[in-house]
Amino acid sequence: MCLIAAFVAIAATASAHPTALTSVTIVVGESFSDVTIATDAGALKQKLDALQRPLTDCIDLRADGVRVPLTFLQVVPLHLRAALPARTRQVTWSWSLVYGSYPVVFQRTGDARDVTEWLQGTETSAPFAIAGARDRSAAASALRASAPREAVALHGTPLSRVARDVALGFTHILPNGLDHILFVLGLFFLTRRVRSVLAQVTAFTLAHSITLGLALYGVVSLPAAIVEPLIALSIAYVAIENLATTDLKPWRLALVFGFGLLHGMGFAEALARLELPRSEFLTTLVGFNAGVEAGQLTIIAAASIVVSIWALPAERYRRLVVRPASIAIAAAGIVWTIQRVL
Amino acid sequence: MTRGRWISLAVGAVAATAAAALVFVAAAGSPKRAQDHAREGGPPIRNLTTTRVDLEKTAAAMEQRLARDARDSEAAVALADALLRQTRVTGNAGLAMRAESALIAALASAPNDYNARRMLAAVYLSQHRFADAIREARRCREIRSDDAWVYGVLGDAHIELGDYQNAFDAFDRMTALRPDAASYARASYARELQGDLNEALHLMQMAAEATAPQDPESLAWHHAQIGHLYLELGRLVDARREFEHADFIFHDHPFAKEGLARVEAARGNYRSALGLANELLAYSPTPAAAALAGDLLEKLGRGDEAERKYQLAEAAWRVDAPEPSRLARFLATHGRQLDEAIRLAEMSGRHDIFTDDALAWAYFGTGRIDRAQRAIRQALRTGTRDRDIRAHADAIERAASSS
Repeated sequence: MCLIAAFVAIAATASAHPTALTSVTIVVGESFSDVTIATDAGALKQKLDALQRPLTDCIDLRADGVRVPLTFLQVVPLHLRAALPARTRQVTWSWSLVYGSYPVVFQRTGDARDVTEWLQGTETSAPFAIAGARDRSAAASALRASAPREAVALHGTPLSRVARDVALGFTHILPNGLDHILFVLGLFFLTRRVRSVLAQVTAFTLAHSITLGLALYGVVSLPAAIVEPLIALSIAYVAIENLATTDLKPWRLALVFGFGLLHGMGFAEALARLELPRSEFLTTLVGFNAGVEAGQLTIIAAASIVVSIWALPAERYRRLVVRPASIAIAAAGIVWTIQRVL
Repeated sequence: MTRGRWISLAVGAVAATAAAALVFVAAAGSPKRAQDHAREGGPPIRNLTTTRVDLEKTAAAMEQRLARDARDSEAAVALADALLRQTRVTGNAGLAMRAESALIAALASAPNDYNARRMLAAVYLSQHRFADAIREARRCREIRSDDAWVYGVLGDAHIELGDYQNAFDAFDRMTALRPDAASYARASYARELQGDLNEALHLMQMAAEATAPQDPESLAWHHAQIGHLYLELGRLVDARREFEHADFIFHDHPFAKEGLARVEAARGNYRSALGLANELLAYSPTPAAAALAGDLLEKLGRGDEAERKYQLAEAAWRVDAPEPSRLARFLATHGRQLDEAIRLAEMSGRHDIFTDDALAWAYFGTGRIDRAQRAIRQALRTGTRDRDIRAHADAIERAASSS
């Protein structure tokens, strides 16, 4: 718990600011929506003068995604009303007049329960259902994403984004992906024949590219609780098979392909953290994959250099390098499998 | 068994042991290999990083746990941690209100829960409730006098109030108890306040190096702070690199974006700086961002637009993020409503060097040079090298000499 909170006090100091003196209450009925805004009238006028826009232009109340016009019922306190189209299912709220955070309280006529959501600046509220069962609690509603997601990943020039994606893919392998490193080494230690190593790496690459792409587009999805132990098990398997055989058997290629499908889903988890807009999926996929391949090739190149410098005869290479290394990799795979299952 | 086979087995055993040790070390620090599953089958706490997405996931998972049992103090603490970090990257101070309510609910059933109470102190700090933060931190200190965290909160609160001696004492104690990223960062800020920017930079670099890679939010924050120190030292290339690094680690971290805008402004690229400030305003609208955009518009000779941004900043500091000391500084440095700036600074209850500087500059602007001299002496009492404070001090000194 200490580790969890190690930086919070600094975070607090750096970001400290009190909350706004503004609040918005929205009462939603079957055919209308009443909006009451409690704020400082002088400050509101100052902002409207600065923005040179009327108040109603700054408010964005939407019924099922369609903006609805508001009319004034009262000026002090500010009370506005919008007519809602028949059979409206939900409303959303946003406005561009707060440079801080403020609470929006949604209420349904005839329902004592309300939902409070803290919005930051121009952020749009979560949809508020007009009728039927609510699918969220007041507390959960306060936890919505606060930053506009499209803005997050569209940062930077196209070239810098590609560089970021390649770097992300590479560092996902080297140095951050110890499990992937051991898997690639497991493939490498089967045999010193270049063709066999390349065949395995190609099968692995092809497979993880497929699932990475499919997972990114949401076509396939497996819980991390399943994927992660299987990835660990795949590491143990390739290492154990290295102890039993020196040839590239046909089933090995098929298995490596299957394992590649699993690893691709693991890679997708890293990409999911980027909050990418859909328009960036393809370029990111290509860049990230390029980085992953570069990482894998770096491992194989480094291992090849070490092995060729040592230049052991086949039997001694197998006895002094392949067996100990495979035992170590298998042990790591087994330990990881147990850890990830528990 | 042949000798070669024995050697092979021995090497294998050693390698296996080393690999197992490596795995355990990696697992201990790995965000996606969580060890700590929550009690009673609840969602785990420490299996996520501090990326924007994972902060949301952590908060949502902890809310689920709290919905089942509001007394789950472990979940309340983890929720508060995630929400305070989200506050830092989004500016949404309302999230701290939820953190406070979750912690108070947990403390209602277990008033002596140490972790919840010390997190509550941090939440109060984030809300600028410094007296409350100090009170809670002192209660924690009575329970555990060797917890570095508590001294961090105490020091932060004292520093905001301008009680530097107590703040530096607390930071010294914190660093002695636990030399880590959090204490290095505080020591760095203390050095910066004392005018030793090179040592501040060195300490902040140590803090960044001591930050776990699975905590990208903190890492980005530390790099943004390093960028700020480079900027203060006039090393613009280094500053830009650090802000870009922070932005790479945590996309659109507000501190990184603001820093990049300031670097561009320092280079004289006001148009580019304005673009960055407007980007920042779009996703993290704050009075400070509006004021920055106003300053840049002023530099570009677009006085009317600058004035409108200043109007927004002023109104926002009154109502949207009401901070009397910040508003006083804004008014004083922009030559607006100086009598009100003086009133706000005097009534803010804060005696930090920035509030003293605001007071001095407002006195200076209204022609009260004696008072300005007294106030600026207070602002310089830590030995700060802050450019604005030094510039104000020079101007006040010149005015005093000529009069």
